[in-house]
Amino acid sequence: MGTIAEVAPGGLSLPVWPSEPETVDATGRSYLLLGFGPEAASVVDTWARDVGALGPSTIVRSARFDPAAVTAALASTRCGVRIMVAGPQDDVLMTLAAARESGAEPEELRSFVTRTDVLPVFCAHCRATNSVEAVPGGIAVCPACATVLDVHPHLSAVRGSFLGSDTTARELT
Amino acid sequence: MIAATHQHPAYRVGSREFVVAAAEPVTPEVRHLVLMPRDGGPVAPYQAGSHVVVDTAAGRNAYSLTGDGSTPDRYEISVLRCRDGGGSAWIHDELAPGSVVTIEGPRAMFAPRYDQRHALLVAGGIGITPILSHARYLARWGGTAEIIYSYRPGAAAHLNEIRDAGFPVHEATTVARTRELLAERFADQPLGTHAYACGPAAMLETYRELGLAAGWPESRLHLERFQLADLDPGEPFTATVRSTGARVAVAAGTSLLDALSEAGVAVASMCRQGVCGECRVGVASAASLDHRDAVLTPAERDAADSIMCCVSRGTDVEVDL
Repeated sequence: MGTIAEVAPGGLSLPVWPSEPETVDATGRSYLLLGFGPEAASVVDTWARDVGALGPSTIVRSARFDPAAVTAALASTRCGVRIMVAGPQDDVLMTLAAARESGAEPEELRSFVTRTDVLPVFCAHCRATNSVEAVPGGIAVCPACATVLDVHPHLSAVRGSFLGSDTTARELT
Repeated sequence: MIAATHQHPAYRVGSREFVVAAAEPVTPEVRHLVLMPRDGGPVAPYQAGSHVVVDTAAGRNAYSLTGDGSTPDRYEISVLRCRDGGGSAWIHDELAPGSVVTIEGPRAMFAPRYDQRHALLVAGGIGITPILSHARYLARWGGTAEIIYSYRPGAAAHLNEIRDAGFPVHEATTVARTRELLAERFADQPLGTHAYACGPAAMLETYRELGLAAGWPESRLHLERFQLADLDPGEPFTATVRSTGARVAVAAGTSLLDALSEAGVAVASMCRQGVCGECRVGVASAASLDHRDAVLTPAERDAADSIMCCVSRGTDVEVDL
């Protein structure tokens, strides 16, 4: 389950992704399948095949997460839909957050991550969210304001991102 | 319940006397009561779908509040006369403007989800009362909703109020039409909708069945029962009271609650039909339990450590009393 799997055991709220794509939930009455990047294509194809005659499906394929396009796709769904997302970790996390913002319940979300080397990081200083190559607990440079950030090891499921704060914020100058 | 010692009087939900300010029929079988606090003090606000417990001569009955719950200066309830001669008959026959009644609450067991994007409100018969509360709450705070109201012609309480609540209302006067409407409206709600239903047991079963069939997860299907399907009398069994070791025989057709009470073991109770949760008692051990209530979750049933003694039964039950 997309959202459940994101909460790691041991109090560390880090994503834990399944190694195989989650299966299609046959109790849905319609399906929204979202795929990001070339690696997601075959996953989405398999899901579309498995949905088959279970109900109408809408497939949205794009290179990157685009908030406007994802929000529009979500707005066109009706209750009873199951939302399945595949792609790089940053795109999947942002899409799941947008789905929750639109009112999706945990049972309605399923996901699969094709690569985990990128993270969405919310910069506490310039308030931009950008995808960066980083690991939770590591360091990244904010692409928007060039601040060197500690990437805090906690996923905000609401924002779909990790918090980044100035590595030198505790130093007196 | 959390002790209200340090709270402002406006949050009092304990037992308190109210004066009947008005008691008007809204249908031949339904009486609407306006209750003002006897001490003149403030009354607690409440979440939509809450109820109060009224002390009647025939026991304690729960009634849904019909207001939006925000800054009330009174409580209003609508009471259907039931043919069992119980508390509702007392409310219809004995109360008049100026009468004093003791009520407790409000209590919320049917509250709106704070994060809902839209609401599908479903009422059957007198089940309109908490649904009216939900509709008024949504109207007050700028929410959106769609309403299904199923009723017998001539017996619909609050029909004008629900029509005037500001949301589309679909009305049905037959079981077949109610079913049709439910299927149709479940199929066409925006993502993020939560559904709320109150009505007779058979209608709630249909509501759940059609909601699930429309692909709605359980977490979106909220309901408030005021009556469970008729239960069979069950098999006789023996209960043991843990503190005293007393053994109590429970005959077929007699509830564990009544058998305990006959044996001098008092258990607080209210609805006596497995809906309200008031008579929950701990179970120290049991050879088997037959849960027939609508309160315990599947996980709580599996834990086998408590029982609603008004409806549920078992074999060789040792109650933690």
